[in-house]
This record gives sequence, structure tokens and C-alpha cells, in this order.
Amino acid sequence: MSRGILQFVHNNGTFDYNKLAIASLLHIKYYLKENVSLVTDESTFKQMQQNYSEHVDLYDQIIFDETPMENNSRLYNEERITFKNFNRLLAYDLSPYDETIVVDVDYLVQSDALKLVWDSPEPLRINRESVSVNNLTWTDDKFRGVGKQRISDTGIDFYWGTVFYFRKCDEMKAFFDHTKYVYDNWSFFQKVHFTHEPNIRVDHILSMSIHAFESNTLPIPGNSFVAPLPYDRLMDIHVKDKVLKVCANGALIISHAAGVQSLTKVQGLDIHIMNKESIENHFDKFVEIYG
Amino acid sequence: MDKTRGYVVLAQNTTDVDYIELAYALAMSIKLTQSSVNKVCLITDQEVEFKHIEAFDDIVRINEDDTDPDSDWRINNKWMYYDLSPYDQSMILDVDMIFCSDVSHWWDACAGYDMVPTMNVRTYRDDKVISTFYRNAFRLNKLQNVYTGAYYFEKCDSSEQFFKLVKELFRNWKSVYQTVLPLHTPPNVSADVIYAIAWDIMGRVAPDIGLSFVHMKFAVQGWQNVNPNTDVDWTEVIMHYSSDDGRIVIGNWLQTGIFHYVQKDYIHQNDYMNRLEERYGVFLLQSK
Repeated sequence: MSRGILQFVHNNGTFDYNKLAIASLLHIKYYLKENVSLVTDESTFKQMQQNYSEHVDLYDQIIFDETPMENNSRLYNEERITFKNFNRLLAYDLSPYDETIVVDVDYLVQSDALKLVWDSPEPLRINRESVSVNNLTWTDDKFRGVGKQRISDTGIDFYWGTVFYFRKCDEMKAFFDHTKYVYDNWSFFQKVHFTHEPNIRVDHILSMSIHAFESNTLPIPGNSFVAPLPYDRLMDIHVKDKVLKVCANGALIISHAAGVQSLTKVQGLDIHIMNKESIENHFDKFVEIYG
Repeated sequence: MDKTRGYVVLAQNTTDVDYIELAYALAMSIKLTQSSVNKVCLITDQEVEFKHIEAFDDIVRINEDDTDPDSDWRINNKWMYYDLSPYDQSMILDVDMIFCSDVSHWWDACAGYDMVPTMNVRTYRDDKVISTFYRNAFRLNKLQNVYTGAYYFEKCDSSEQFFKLVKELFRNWKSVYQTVLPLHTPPNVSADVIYAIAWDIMGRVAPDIGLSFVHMKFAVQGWQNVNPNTDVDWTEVIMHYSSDDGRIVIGNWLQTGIFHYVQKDYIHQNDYMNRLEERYGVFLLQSK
């Protein structure tokens, strides 16, 4: 059974996603030692070859996908920027592996915990809870720190599409087909699930599809469709937080501006760095350690 | 000889609410969902319409002991279950409930206990209710977290003594509250509070073996954008529907177990009652 990691990388004119992807790739190869394939477009890949030629060969396969993607703009650090990530809903069709872990490029793997997902009885592993690494709730996110996160106040559970595992099987094929159905009928599902976010969000589409598969049937113990990842909650730092320093052993010194100002040292813990500039700023150090 | 088992529900109409109609809906839902125990006893002080009668296995009239015949909130008689239940083993239910799926396994789990209260309730999203918004008297006065919405008892000496105590507590609830609940003294009598006080007076710890139900009091649902201090009808806050086969979906969540809808007009919304009657009619035809 083939296994590997899948990255989706499409430059959006705001960040150098290739840089983020290579930083993430280096972490994955160092800690997981697994095959990594890249889903990208011709234009983005051309830039990757120009700027990061010494690392491109680390990829197992390059998969080109030119699926036109609707502009998906969201607030990022009080600025509205465009994300190009909807083809993650095509992960089932695009992945060359029987078992796949989809990893966002701003997710830094710093442990081998993700290897525990291989051969999972559940065909889908994804987290619905997240916590900031300084264990503080965000002051600007009203769904934080009040139990489970939801896609709306009265709505369904929120799942984080930042990193997830799936195994190819009929059930997962149907699941990904459903995500495309939700995407194609977004205005309907938006109303049904009371999401007030004006733009489509992959996390929401995954959440709605998981809910459709998992929660509208009577629970059968031991027959779950979805389970959390080995770290059962997504650890993250807020977009306002910064990676101050990358230590020689890879430990990250995080300066927290969201919530209470504080410093955290993170080592051996996979982490979602929402502040993408922090990864860009420390790219050379990552290459020095993991390259 | 096998012990008889059944659900008991107390329904006394008020000027605002036809509680017997709610009990009728509850009884139909029990008949439609329960695989083993599906007997239902209605305890009431009123004549029961012909169409309602068939849904109940037993109808017991409240006698002259009606504790507070003039009350608008007819919970003062919630001590009568022991005396009036025709079953050896009974499950008390609140009247504004619907059974969504089979809970027959509860009966064997309860067997061997004299009484088993519900000690935890759930939100429509199947989260354990952690809010104490309605339970400050419990929290501050350290009462056990007893709910009487689904409450098992077996006829035996200890439960008989318990219900005798509950009767006295109901009859003297104002002075009892002043004495036992010095903090956040509730202004109205509550069966949950009375029963919790009785457990404490008996010096017993109520067993928690997992009886539970979905409680739709809006302030415990974990909603952030609804002011709990306002009077909110949850049916106006969140989308809800039911399927023709009787599945109840609240906010896109399929309900399981017992659904305590609280909002008394819920069963008349979205044509739910008519469709429940249709399904029950088919069930009766198939049963005969």
C-alpha cells in the first residue's frame, strides 16, 4: 500500500508559497522521512524551479493541476487576501498514494507523530479542536475557548483542513464527491448551516461533509468514519503571533501578541503557523537545520 | 413472575397548554421507537379524548390529593408517581418529550437499583450540558444534579419512603426552600430541586448510570450570541425539521434518545404532530 504526503501550492501574489512549501517539505522529510508529492500549477512550479532548484528534487512527484479556482478572499491580519486552495477538494483524485496525509504549507511538522496514522481503521483522520500553543484563547475569536469549535454559533462542529489523513476507499471517494457537491452548491449549504462567513472556506466544506457522513446517522460504536489525528487537537499560533527565533535544534521561540503577551518555546510539536511571514522570515535557518 | 415495566407521565391541562396532547405525542413516539418496554401510563385529572386513549396502556385519575389545584404550573403533584404507577418498575417522564430512538437497554441497566435519576443532560449537539445557568440553586447549595425528566424507580420500601418524603417536601416547599436553599432560593417549586433535596435528606448519593436526554432550554446550548437573560424561543433561533419517518433534526443534528423540547408548541410546528399521528396510525394497523 503506497503512502505519502500531499502538498498543494499555488502562489497568490501575496506570499511566496513556494518558500513556505519548501520549508514545510524540509521538516516533513526530516521528521517523517516519507514521500512527498506536490500539487501545483505550471506558473507556480516554474518559480519554484527558478528559486528553489536545489530542493525540488526532494519531491516524489509533481502533479500539475490547472483547475480554475474561484477567488477566495479572507481577512488575514486585518488585510483581505486571496487564497487558492479549493483543489484540495480534489485530493482523492490527485493523490498518487493509497494513504495520503494532506499538509498545509504553513504547518510545520516537528515530530514523527503523523506516522501513527498509517493503517488507521478510520478512513479519515482530521482534528476538530485546536488550541494555541500558549494555551490561551484568542480574544478576537468568539468560538474559541468555549468548548468545541463550530462553523457558526448554533451550527455544526468545525474541522480543520490544515492537516488530514485519508485512505482511498469507496467511502472516501463518496466523501470527496460530496465535498465537491457542497462547493458547487455553496449558497445552499451556507444557508443550511448558518455560516455567515461571506466566502467559501475549505474547512467549512470539509466540516459540512463530515457532518453529513458522520452525524446524521445513529451512532454505531466502533464504526466511526472519522477520528482525530495522533495529536488530537491542532496546535497553532495566531496570525498576530510571531516566530521570534529558530534555535539550532529546531525549537521555535514564539512571541504571542494575541491574548496575553507572552513567549513560548515549541519543540517536538507539530504546529500550524498562521503567521506565514514568520516561516518566510526564518526560511534560511530552516534550510540550515533541515536542508 | 416478571416485573411489569412502563413509562409514567403526569399531564394536567392548564389554560395555556394542552398537556394531555403533549403526553399523547410522547406516548405515540414511545410506541414507535421502543423495542421492549413501551407501556405508557397517563396520570391526569381530566377526561381523556377518545383519540388519545389508544396511545396509553393505562390511564390513572388523580384523586382528591391534588396538591395545588389552582396552580398554573402543574408540577406540584409530581410526588404521585409511586402511588399511582401501575408498574413494578417505572420510568417517570416529563410530558414535553419525544422519543427519537430506542432506549430499551436502560431498563436492564436500572434493574437492581431502587431509583435512578438522570444526572446529566445533553444539548442538541450531543454535548454534555455544563452550564449551570438554570441550576444556581443546585450549585450554590451543593445539591446533587438530579433531573426528574427521565427518572427510574422500582416499587420497594426505600423508594416508597422516598416518595413519601417528596410529597411532604412539595407540600411545604416554601419553608423547605428557605431552610435548605439559603443561597439563590428559587422563587418557584421545581421537581428537580425537590427530588435533589430528598436525596440529600435520605443521606444517599444518586447513582449516575448514564440516563440522559436532550434538554432544549436555550441557555444551556452553548450559544454565544444569544443573551441567556432574555426570553428566547429556541425554535425561532435555530432551524429544525423532521422527516416523514420521524427523525428529528435540530440545527442539522439528528436527535437520538429522548428529546425534551421544552417549547410547548414545538410538536405543532412543521406539521410534526399530524405526521406523527399518521405514522402511529400505520403502526397500529400493522400491529393488528
